[in-house]
Amino acid sequence: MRTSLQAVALWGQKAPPHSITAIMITDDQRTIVTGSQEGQLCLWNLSHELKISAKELLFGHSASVTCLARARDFSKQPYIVSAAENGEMCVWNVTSGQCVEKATLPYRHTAICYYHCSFRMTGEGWLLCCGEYQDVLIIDAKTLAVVHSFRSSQFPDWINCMCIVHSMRIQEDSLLVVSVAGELKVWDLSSSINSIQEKRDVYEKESKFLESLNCQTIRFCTYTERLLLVVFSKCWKVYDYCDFSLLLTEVSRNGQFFAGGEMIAAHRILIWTEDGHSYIYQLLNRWAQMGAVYKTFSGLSKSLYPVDGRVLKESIYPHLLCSTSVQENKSRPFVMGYMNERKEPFYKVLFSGEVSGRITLWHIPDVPVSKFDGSPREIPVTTTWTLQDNFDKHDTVSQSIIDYFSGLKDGAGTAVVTSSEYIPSLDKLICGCEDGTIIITQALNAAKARLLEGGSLVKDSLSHKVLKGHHQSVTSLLYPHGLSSKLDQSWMLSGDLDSCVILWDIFTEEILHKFFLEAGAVTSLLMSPEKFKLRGEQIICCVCSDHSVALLHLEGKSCLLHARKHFFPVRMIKWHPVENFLIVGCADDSVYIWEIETGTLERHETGERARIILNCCDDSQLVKSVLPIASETLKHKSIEQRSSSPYQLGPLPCPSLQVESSCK
Amino acid sequence: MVTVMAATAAERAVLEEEFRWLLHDEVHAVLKQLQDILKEASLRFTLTGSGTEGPAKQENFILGSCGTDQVKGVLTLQGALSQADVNLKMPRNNQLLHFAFREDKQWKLQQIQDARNHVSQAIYLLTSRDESYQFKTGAEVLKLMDAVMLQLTRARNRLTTPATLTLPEIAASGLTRMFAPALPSDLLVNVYINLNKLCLTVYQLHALQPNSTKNFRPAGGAVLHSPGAMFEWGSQRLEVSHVHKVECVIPWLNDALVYFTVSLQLCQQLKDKISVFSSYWSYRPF
Repeated sequence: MRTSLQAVALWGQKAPPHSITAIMITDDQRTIVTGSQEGQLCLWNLSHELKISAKELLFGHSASVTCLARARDFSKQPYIVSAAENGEMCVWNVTSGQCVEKATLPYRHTAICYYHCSFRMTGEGWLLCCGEYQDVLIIDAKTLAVVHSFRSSQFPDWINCMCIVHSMRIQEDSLLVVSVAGELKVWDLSSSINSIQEKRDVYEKESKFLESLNCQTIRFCTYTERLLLVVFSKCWKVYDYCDFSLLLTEVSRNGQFFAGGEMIAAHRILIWTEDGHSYIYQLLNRWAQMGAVYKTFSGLSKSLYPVDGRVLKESIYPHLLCSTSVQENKSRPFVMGYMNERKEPFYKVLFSGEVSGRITLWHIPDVPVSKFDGSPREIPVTTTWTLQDNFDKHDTVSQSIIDYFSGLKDGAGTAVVTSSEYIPSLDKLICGCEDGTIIITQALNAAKARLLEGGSLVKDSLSHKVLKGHHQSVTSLLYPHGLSSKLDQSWMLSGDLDSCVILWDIFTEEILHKFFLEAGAVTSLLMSPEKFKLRGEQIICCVCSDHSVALLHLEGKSCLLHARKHFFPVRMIKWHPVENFLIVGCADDSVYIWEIETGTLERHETGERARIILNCCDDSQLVKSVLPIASETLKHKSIEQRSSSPYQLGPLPCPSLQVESSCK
Repeated sequence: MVTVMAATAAERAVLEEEFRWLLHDEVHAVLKQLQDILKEASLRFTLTGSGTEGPAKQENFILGSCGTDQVKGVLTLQGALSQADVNLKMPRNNQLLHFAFREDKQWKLQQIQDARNHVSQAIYLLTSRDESYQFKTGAEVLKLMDAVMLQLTRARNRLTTPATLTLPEIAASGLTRMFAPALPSDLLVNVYINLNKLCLTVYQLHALQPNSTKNFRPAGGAVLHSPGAMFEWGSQRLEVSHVHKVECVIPWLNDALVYFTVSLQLCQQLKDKISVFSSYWSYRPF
């Protein structure tokens, strides 16, 4: 019986960032689900009057969410699946907000389609996935294990978009996909179920090159069961599903990039763009008789041979009925979708999510019409909402703990805390502020005062200290004694935006020394491990915003080394005590090895050698980065298994690259 | 408190002017440069007869080890690996074995395809923000650069990190079925890209006797297996007796890798330039 852990989250006035990368509305039109770059999902309530309100923030991914899809028949189980850039997949219960299944696969998905044929399949159904790998994967919707895949007999390549076509006439399902090379492929779906369950190869039934690239969406018209809509970034096309002949091409104007579309009725198409605009077209027929004035008929029969023997050629063309109004000042790209509800209240909803975290809804009329003069009518925004709107609706319970001490009177604004450090042994909370002051207060008392006693506590009863020495915002703090008990208890280090690092005595409030690094903001302050001592003492390591690394000796009040050659942000620091090396791992997966005594760069390695060097020693410190960046540890189609090769802490290894033909 | 931030109003005005120049002019100049470099890079990855482009150019690579002359291979790359002609001299009896791909088959080097697709994605990200697009905030530029750098890093990693396969995976891969005459059951072949080189590995196997005293321990995944690696295949237990590896540099892959490195540096430099300004007005949504 697993015990559950209660977690309480306290939010301030500002909503957390939620840069929307995927958006969907659940089948019951009650919940909007958004996935973000930060890795969180957000569940929003959608009311009958189309009002949005944020309900829950789901923490489950450590990398940006790439796609969302339903994971079951929604009326039976309200499950959805989310996939992230690093291969994580989670199945969520949207009603309870719980994660019911989680897996990490070595595949990066860009689209997922749920498929279940209850009378032919056992189990809970499949997730058909496509992404940055060849062809289409079939993943079990319950266990998230890879079942099988649809393979291409020719030109296997990444797949951009998919749709499942269910033909009412013959009760057969097909899978239609378009690859990155612009090839349309069709697989039998329902008739391949047995082959898939028996792991036999399933190849495409037919394929055709579509002569356009960057396919965004493929949609089958369920109303006519005949038209196929394919949206590319610079054009959209309509094909006849029976023989895949091209019926219509519409090219984008004004440099717009199309991002998707939907068939919203028989011969009515909705197309949306990357910058949030959308357009509704009615497909009209045009009959052209050679040399005669054209007439408009209805019906879609291909050609007629009239009495006089001339051939009538049919073509369809799009007539713009409506477009949606979009506020300016929007940030691209938008992710959009369309939902057509078959139950009460029968809303047709177009929705969009933005990088700024805003959701916008347009209620599409059942019968969109253009204006009387034939020009397109504008559909207004029905509702728009962000997380911050939810935050603003409620009174904030607590302000910042240090508001009383920041020296601001008359409500001139709240102090912005730019860095903080908690020292449990002294019960002290150190806050570095934007204006350069550092405030030290008793941590538990301050927290108790703000959270539990409201504003009734007189501020004087809480002792606090204000340290002034920085002129720019304080960006990092370090309390050395907290990391190594051998060091002086009174020492504290602070770094600011202007490369100034100050060594303080926090008891006497004195400045013991100021270091000027001239390297941009000090982003991290680290300390060398206990076994690494230079001149009898542990070293302080400063990582700065120009990607340089400075080593400071506190006792000697000197800067031992300033390593300035790194092109890319520093991700990891390692210490090599025997040879007094500083090993710096950068964001481009390269390694710089610095000799501390002489301050010279001993080596710069990339690729496999760099990986081996970073793995061989212990005592590595990961540098905190300001923005979470997904680590590229996705190994291609295999579990990580390194052959064991012991490396001692001796001279640094130089593995040879060439492995000659070797025999036992 | 506000005045502590940036010195005087005049200084602020200059900073804002500089930032505006950065967003409107410099950023687009860098993006154009990136596009040019990446388009050059993508030209190096010839497309495989997609129907829209002409037939891909054919290149033959001769792979051999200079020392013992035991393995010689001629691999033909035409978008995919269209032909592999391998000569193997068996060390024990000096017998020469020859294998070649079947006429109708091609072996797709997935590493090259993935790298090419990542470059196309990077180019797509850049072309959607051409000169007519106005960047409104520094954060927009940073996000774009992050997205482009992610694609370029992935493209590079696909070439520098070949898949670690177990021996059963190598045996089961479609590559073994590409040859005519069929490969003998005591040989395994693997082809992959490592950095800028095309590598061909041939494993010679022998069956482990059921009553052998050796401790059977199946080997895990590796890019290159060593002699002595054991695995189970079908009903047999096998052990690698010889490993032959030959490789050859592919010049255009070399070029592509250089382009990736240069592009990544350009992106990082632009990010650094933008970040300098963030420190001046961190109290404003930047």
